[in-house]
Amino acid sequence: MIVAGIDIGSSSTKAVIIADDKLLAWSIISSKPDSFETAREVMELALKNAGLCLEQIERIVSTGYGRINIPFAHEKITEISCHALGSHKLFPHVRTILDMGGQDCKVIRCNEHGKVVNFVMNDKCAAGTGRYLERIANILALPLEKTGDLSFQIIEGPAPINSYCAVFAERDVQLLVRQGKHRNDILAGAYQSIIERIYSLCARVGIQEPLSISGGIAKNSGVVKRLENKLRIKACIADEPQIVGALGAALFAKTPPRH
Amino acid sequence: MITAGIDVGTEATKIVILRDNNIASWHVLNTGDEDAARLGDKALHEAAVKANLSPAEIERLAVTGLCDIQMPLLHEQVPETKCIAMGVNWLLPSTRIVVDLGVWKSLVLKCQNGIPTKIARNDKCASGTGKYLDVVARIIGIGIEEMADLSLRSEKYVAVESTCTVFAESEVISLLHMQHRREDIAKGALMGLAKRIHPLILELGMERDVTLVGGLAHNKGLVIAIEELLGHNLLVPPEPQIVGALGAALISQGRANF
Repeated sequence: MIVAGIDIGSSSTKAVIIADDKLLAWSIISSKPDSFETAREVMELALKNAGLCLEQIERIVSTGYGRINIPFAHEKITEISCHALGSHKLFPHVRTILDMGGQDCKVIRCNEHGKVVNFVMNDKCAAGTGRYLERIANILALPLEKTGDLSFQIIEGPAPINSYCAVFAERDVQLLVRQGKHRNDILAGAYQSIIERIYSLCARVGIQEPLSISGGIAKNSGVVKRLENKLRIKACIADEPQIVGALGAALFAKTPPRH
Repeated sequence: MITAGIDVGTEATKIVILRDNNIASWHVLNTGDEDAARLGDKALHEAAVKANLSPAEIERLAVTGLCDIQMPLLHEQVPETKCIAMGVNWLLPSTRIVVDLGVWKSLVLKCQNGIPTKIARNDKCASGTGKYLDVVARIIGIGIEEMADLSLRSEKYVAVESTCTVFAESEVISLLHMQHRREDIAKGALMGLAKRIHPLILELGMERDVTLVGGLAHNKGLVIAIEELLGHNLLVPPEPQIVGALGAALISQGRANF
């Protein structure tokens, strides 16, 4: 049985195609303002990677933020459940999942079957999401991918960013730049801030090991290393941490419809 | 008696010179343009020229807002809540609630006879501040002033649902992509801002009259949006930005109590 999952995120949209338990293909593209178009495109790309056509996919489950219903998906399941199941598939012993996307951050507790037992999500405030780091990288005229490593190459010491709000933090960063602070030090301050936000979120549901980290942020050493240090935990991270939600959605597609 | 009040904001510094019971002059300058040591002097000088006075004729001076300016004449620093309440009471004595909106903050006061009795403040989150409108205006590709005019031509507003300014930015990009009218999006954003402020008013307990002050009070579109939520008219003084500085000048005159 060939099934697929699509995870529509605010920054990127992912598709995964599986046959029984085998990963056939996956794809990631940047999310466009038109969610339907984005979903169609990412699905086409995954099908191309798998050498398949849409008719050969028996069931498709969609997940992700937004109220879009994808016409070619058979069911929509919450991203919380999809991330739990996807993480569980990759790391069967996992009990806590931290997933951070462009516009949200969630901490999910799951049981031995990958079923959600508790979770907390911030999708209302940009502080503690990928956007916070993106905007600061933007002001410093740096690509986001470089900022993690730079944030460890401290010159004088982390320049503290006191504002909680991502917009106010931008103002703080501009002031620090005017004061001549080195951008590595500013980045160190910014990463410290975001770790505080993530840590607070984690504390609300508690962390039970093993912990896995997924979403774009899992590729960011600036966050992962600091968080691992703070929690004193080594996290499990997939080779492709961004597709965990879509994988979970595909796994749900294997099971009969839920009511 | 000639007194002066200076209100130092993050963006703008305002000064009022009071001669007995009249405003002799007022002036607004950019806070960022001068360093702290010279900002006060510059403000005083500009306002004195406008009032046909020499700075030496000013007998007392009070400062409010971000008070770290240095002034030889400085007699006192006064909390901005007291200055705003005092200034509004002098201009519009029927006021019971003042809403002060700036670029980086929103402040709501309940007051009686020029004394603040309850305070609700947001200076931590960009939503509910002028910054939110700045961000939306930039995405639409217009200035803040144009935003008011655009919104007045809206027939059916499109809600900007995101409570976060950063997310609202993405949302407005989507709304533009979906071909919604800029007029309706502008109105939606103004309603979004009004919806952040309304709970602060309710927190203090609604009581009329409600007066809007601060730089954003010039925005007719915002005034209308807040009025729609409140269900009644707002009062707006002719120069809403100088209310804090006026209050500081009044307090300098010793009008602490009526």
